[in-house]
Amino acid sequence: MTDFTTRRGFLGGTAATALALGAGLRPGLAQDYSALKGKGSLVVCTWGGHYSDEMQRIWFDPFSEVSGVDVSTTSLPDMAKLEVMEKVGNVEWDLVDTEGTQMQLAIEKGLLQPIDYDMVFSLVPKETIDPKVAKDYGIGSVAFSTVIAWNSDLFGAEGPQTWTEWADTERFKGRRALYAQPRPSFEIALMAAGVPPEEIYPIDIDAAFEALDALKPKIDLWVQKTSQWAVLMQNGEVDLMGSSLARTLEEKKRSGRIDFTFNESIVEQSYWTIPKGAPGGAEAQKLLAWMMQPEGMLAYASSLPFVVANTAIYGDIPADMQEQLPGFPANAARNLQIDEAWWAANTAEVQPRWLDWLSRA
Amino acid sequence: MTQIDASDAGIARLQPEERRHGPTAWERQQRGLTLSLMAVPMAVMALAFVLPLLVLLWMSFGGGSSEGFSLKGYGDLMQPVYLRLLGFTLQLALVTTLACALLAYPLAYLMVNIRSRFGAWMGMVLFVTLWLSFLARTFSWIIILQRRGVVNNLLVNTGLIDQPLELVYNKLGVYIGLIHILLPFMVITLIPAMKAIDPAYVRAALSLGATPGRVFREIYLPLSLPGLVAGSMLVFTLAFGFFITPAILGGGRAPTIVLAIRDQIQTLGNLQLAAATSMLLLVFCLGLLVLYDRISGIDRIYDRGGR
Repeated sequence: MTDFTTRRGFLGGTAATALALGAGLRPGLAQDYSALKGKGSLVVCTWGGHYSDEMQRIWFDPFSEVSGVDVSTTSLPDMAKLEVMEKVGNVEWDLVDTEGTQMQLAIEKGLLQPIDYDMVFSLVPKETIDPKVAKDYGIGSVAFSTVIAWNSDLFGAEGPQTWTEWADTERFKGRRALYAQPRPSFEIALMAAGVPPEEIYPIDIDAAFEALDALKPKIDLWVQKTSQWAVLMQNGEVDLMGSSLARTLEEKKRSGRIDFTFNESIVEQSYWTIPKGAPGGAEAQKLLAWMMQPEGMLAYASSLPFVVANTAIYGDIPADMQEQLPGFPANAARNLQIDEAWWAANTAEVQPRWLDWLSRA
Repeated sequence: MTQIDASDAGIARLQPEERRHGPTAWERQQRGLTLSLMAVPMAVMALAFVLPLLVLLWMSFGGGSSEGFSLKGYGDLMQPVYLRLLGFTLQLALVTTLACALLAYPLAYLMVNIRSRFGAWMGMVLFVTLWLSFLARTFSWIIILQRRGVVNNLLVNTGLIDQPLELVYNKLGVYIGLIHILLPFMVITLIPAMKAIDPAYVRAALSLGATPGRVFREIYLPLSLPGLVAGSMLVFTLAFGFFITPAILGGGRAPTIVLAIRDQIQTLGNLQLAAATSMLLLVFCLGLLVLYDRISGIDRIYDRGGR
């Protein structure tokens, strides 16, 4: 399977802001990094494209300078593949950028080793790391947002502010597109049906499919890959979207013909995990600690619009950046966090039913 | 082969009947030579194709999983959704193969028989499209077929239609994309088969008074059939397993069985189910191959028409 199967293999490049912000944020010389010294090399398995190029530039290369450990990247995180690697005793990855549900799957199959929080908190103060994403077997890498977006030629800045409004074909006449995946289409359909975000979980699967039945005739196309959004937006193929924040923001900056809101945005957390049999496990723990520092976190979040684990970075940032950082407290307060435990427990039931539902005309 | 057969027969004639119990020295030598020549390719076949298939078969029965051997993979597969996706994928592959055959046949005929530089140019254009990535070609179709794409703009601006046609993000779009992407494979398997047809047969039939239609039906088509069968099998197999084009051009309305396998691996992490589904596809394709054999005689694929 190649990288075009993922939702984020093709993240576009808008790194200018990051350069401006990141320049002043080189690791302070006062910090003592002697504990990070190591040897050998690390392989980080992540999602490819601009997304991992920026990780290399902002996190991995500076880490190599400080620690003497080479870091290279590969793609893509796949728990079935990891399971096979663990089974034959030849694990090629030292650090993996897993989706929340992937991590749950890997934990159930006993594929991961615990995070060394002593190492992490020796480098960054404990209170700066979001406790929600500091798990036993993983620590928050980034979180992806799916947002309500619209064609601003048609609706100006006054686009739909909730999924219920988004689904209102009387008020908003246009063509609609959503991801061809149950996650986050379940959440979207339920919110569109009027379920308040805080009452979504645990999802009643039958109710979710009922809500989807109501939504289905309004959806003109289902998107398989994140790379499709740019094509769809640029050509005015659809007017109302539940689209990737990264792609939406990029298109908004490029053409100015797309706008979006953080209201009822859906956030899906990913985690850094270390395979049980990772040959460079000890060095991977050091790299993890390195990445939790605020300088790199801010540089990365400024480059690509993802939520990061260090919450201390939002203190003093310019207003225009506040408007595009999904982790900025005012924006984050309006989002819905995907419940990865629910999805990990129910995907086996949901996925075939979803395919069945989607493939029926 | 014919020479060796001939010498076999010759030796047989020279030998008294009662002495022919075991293989003769000549036969042993011949067998030894065949085996030693075949050893390397057979080893490659076994390692690269047979072994992975056996591993897949083993996994489909729960081999390597924590729960041990079971029929769970095949049990899980017996859901209406998978059978329906299989049915749709089959339909997709069959229609694509048929359309490719109908389009490729005249194209290949033209390329083989045209007497100008144009023929070489056609070949070049065909091969260049094969070098371009599937993904790029798939997205190019979107530019052409979308609501504000080349075709719709032309039709709407010339006043032929009022509303743009739905040409993509549905099954029609999938068919257009798949046929375009797989057409060159059919053409390149047809060309050698057609080149091998001796034009003298056609001329002879015509000179004996057969109508052009009859010449085509009774001479040209049967002689080019091996190429058509081989091309159809190639296109069918590729279309059956094609993933990215249906996923993108289908707009979510044309999920294939391969998409289900992707979900089984990436989303569910259920290798046993994925292996079982793959085995079902394999059995299906083998079944069609056997059917083909019954109808057309599979060994004819290796024939060169007209010789």
